[in-house]
Amino acid sequence: MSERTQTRSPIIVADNLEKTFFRGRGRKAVQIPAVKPLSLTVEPGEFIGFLGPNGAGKSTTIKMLIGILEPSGGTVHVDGLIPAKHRVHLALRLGVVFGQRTQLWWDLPLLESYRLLKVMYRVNEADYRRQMETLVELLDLSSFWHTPVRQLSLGQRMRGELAAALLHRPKILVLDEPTIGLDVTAKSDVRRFLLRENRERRTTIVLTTHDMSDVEELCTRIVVINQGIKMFDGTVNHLEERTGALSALHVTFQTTPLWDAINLPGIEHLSSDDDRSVLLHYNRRQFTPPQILEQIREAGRIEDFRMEEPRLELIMRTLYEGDGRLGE
Amino acid sequence: MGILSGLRLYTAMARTTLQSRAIYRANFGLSLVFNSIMVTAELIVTLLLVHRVHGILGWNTAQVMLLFGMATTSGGTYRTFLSELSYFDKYLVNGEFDAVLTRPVPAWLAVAGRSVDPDQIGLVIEGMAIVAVSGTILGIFRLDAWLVIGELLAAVVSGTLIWMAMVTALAALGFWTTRVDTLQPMVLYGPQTAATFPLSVYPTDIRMLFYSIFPVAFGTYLPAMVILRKGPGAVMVLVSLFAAAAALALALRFWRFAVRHYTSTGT
Repeated sequence: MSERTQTRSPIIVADNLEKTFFRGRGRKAVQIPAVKPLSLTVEPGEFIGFLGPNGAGKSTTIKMLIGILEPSGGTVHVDGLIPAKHRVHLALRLGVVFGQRTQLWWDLPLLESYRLLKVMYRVNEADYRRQMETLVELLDLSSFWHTPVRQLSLGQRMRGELAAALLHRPKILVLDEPTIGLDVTAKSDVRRFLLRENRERRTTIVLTTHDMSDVEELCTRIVVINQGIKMFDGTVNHLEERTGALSALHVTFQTTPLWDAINLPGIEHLSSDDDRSVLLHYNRRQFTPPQILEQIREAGRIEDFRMEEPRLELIMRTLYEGDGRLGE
Repeated sequence: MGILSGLRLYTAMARTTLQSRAIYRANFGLSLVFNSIMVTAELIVTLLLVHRVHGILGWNTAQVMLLFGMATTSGGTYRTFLSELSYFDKYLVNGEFDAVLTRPVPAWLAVAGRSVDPDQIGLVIEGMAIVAVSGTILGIFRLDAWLVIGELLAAVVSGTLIWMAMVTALAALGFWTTRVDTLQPMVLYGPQTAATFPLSVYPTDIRMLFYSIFPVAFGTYLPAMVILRKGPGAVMVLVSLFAAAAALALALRFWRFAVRHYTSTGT
């Protein structure tokens, strides 16, 4: 990646970007730092995932990048423009999708929204036709082309939103939780489309999500934000190296176990659904599942156990619950 | 953004808004009837009041009726074009404004584009009817009919611009306070109702407010004085137009300042 983009200048440069909100008035006003000085450089063509728990500052950061919010401190340049200052101009080069909020006209068929967007984004007739044809085919929009948006399923609507965001062939696509609420098929449709957009058209994509499989399948790079601080910036593999190869084992005992016997060094006892089962986190490089089962035998008779798969999810949880010890 | 491309954009947005409103077409007739009942009731109360005190400081019942008609017409025109801005706080509360700001369109224009509301045209028609009736009673069209009609049109334009300015400024306040709906009766409807009476009935300091912070005088009272030949020369119609345009420009400036203080909402 770095070799390919070396000669190009970065498309997003944030330098000590900061946002503080004020709650209340006068002397009672409370400062709430939503994003603490955060620096970030994104090269053209990157697919970058913003991760963090609710309220971590992901959306606030994104909103500063697209000019919705004015930073309290620091600077940001997106494609050479200052977002809050050149918002209208920058918007012509951006595609934005908010997963939780539609950007389409609720009572009208998709077609009508696109016709208006064509005027808004100053797309000429020929480009509009060509791009629309491609999008209709790739996102399979034709079957609900004439249906009012409010009658579409969430999956159909999201495909419609993506087409709306890409009609003017933006350089940068910003997606705030695009897969939220989608079923498995719809999710994979959306992901396949995004990958193609990124790999074939080299569109820079910035994504926030809570779905770790989004990140594993799509992102070339992840940025983890917690409490307004950037805690990690790198590839998924890189993150795994830093946090250790985390795995989880879910064990159910026949009767309530002796909890003290489960307190083993190097194994984190995370949670229990009831008084008979326990979720254990361990480092794959340190232990194997049989070793662990052997060690906790003292606690009681084991009825059942299973491995928990989503690795990144675990890593994230460790990061969020930690104190930033993985920070750079 | 140039005026021409802004206008093109506005037309496209307004067209889409109209299309989406057309789905609820049944509302049109209903709000027409509802509006006309409201306006008529308000007119009757006003006229009864004036009639009982045998005119207000040299303004007879028909003259007050003309004033009322002018205020109703410009109020209706503003509502037809900028209705959403009166409820703008909803954009801020539910975060809809985020979506507005992702578009390559100045925010005010984008909100205006969603604001076209043909249901309000009824108000304009009723206002014009009241002006026509009272004007005929007063005989203002007998001499220089075209000049008077021109003056009336100019007055409606200034009245509409004043409304737009005030509602824009109020909406902009919404970026700092969520209590816009409680302010609205005081700073918007209060002055507008006040303007349906000859401003000479108010004490000087209050009257001054209507020439400055709440400049409703330029929308009704001042042009009406010209039309009724009560002293000010025709040039005051132009002065009113200019003042109204300046008020809107100022309000838009305040709006742009406010947008930069937008804090969005959490998700």
